[in-house]
Amino acid sequence: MARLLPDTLATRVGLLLTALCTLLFLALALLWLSTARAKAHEEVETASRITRQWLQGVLEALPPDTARGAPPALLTHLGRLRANTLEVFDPSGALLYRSPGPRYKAGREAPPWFSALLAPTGPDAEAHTFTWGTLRLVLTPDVSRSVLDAWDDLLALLLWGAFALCCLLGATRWALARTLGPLHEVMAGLDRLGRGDFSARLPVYSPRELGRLAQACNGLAARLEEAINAEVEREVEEELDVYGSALRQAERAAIARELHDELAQGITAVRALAGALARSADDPAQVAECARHIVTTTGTLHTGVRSILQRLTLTPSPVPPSIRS
Amino acid sequence: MIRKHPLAGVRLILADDHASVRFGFRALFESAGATVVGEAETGEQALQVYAAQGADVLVMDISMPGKGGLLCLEQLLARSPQARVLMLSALHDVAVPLRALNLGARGFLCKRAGPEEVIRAVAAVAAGDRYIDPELAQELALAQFSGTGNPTRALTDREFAVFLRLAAGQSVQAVAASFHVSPSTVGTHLYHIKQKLNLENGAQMTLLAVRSGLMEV
Repeated sequence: MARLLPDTLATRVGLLLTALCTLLFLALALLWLSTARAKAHEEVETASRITRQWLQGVLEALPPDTARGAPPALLTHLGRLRANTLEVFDPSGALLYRSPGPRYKAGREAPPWFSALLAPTGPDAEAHTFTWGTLRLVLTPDVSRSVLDAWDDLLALLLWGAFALCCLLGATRWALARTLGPLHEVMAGLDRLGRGDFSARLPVYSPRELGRLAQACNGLAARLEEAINAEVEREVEEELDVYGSALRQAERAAIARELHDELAQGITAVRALAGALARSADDPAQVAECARHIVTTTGTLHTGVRSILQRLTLTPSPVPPSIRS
Repeated sequence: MIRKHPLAGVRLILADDHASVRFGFRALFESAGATVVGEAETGEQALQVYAAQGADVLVMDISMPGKGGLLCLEQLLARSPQARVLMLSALHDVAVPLRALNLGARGFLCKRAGPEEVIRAVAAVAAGDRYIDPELAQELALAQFSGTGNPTRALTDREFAVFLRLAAGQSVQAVAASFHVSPSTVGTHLYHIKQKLNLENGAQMTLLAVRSGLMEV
């Protein structure tokens, strides 16, 4: 059943209710079976007792000289006896006469196991033998019609019961699906939360349990959203701090390189030229040459310092696009 | 009393990527009686000029574009073991002078040294003596016991040589060919270099070499 129907809460509850109803139905069927057995016993007892009393009276009333080796004509003209079969045997045991079989539901029989289940027991269910002259008459109770009626009633009962159970299963599933319909929206909301969409909120429904579930989910989503927003803000701040620190470090390294390239080398050159000047005091041409190079070198130094200052004062610190976004 | 020409008769080659520095030193050394037979603005040019002109002393900056001063020092001494090289550096760092002196430089001087000290250094090296910047001498001695802040100090001499070449842009195969070893050996050195210096790629290696004053870009 679980494979034929979708494995949903409504199906499971429907199947549970149907199983309980089936048990109740089976209990009623057993009760009905007991009643049917008693009814069959009563039928056999009543019919057999009346037939025995009637047959005993008839045989006593018939004149003895009529016993000439043939069954009484009265009996052979009676035909079918209710719920009994009459058989007449001669002294040698040969069957002279058997009453006709039932015409009610002729040709049909209940299953043997059902007949054995309902067949009455006791003295009233046993065959009785009568003697008339030299003939022997055997009266056997026949319960097959009562059992067949009970069998037919049982089949009808089972069919109607199965139909009623199917209707019950369908109605239960429909009613539960209608009642639990908001659960689909709850599940959809939980799926959105599971995908990381913590802005999802669930409508609060009238059934108390669903309402509490929706409120709990909404509270959870709100706290998650707040926590994530706080975490994102913290990460952005940390990233900005790291980026700013790296930027400052890079600027310091760039300034150091600029100082090294533009200033330190120039100072070294000027010091060397000054040393040469000190040694060339008696060579005016060499002094003049050194002086020109000192002017040139210090001019380069001045340009380098101005460039560094401009970079330090004018260049804004760019914020990376990943952080801006 | 200052001697008028303490460098008389000394033939010099200047290697520095800054023209103003070369001119200043040329004027200084010539005023002291030396003859500047050649100039170079890269390490490769220094090797060529030295091979062509020869000199009593090669005055060479550590930081230069291309191979850099240390790598050229190593290659120069491999070809001319008797070469006398005075290395100059604008950085005040202990690790670099240690490497230079280990490679065979006769002297090491900071560029902030005074003119007379520069002349004394060249004169000492020209005379076959060793010369170490007085301001660095004590730090160099202490560094033998306590180490330095320069991360390249953690490298062995061979690892440092591989580091310089790879930072200069040479391939593993080229480095292996220059050392006459297999590329896998150079790869092992490279692995150790990355582990010790916490580097991930060649760009970071070059950046560290530039920041350590070992080369210029």
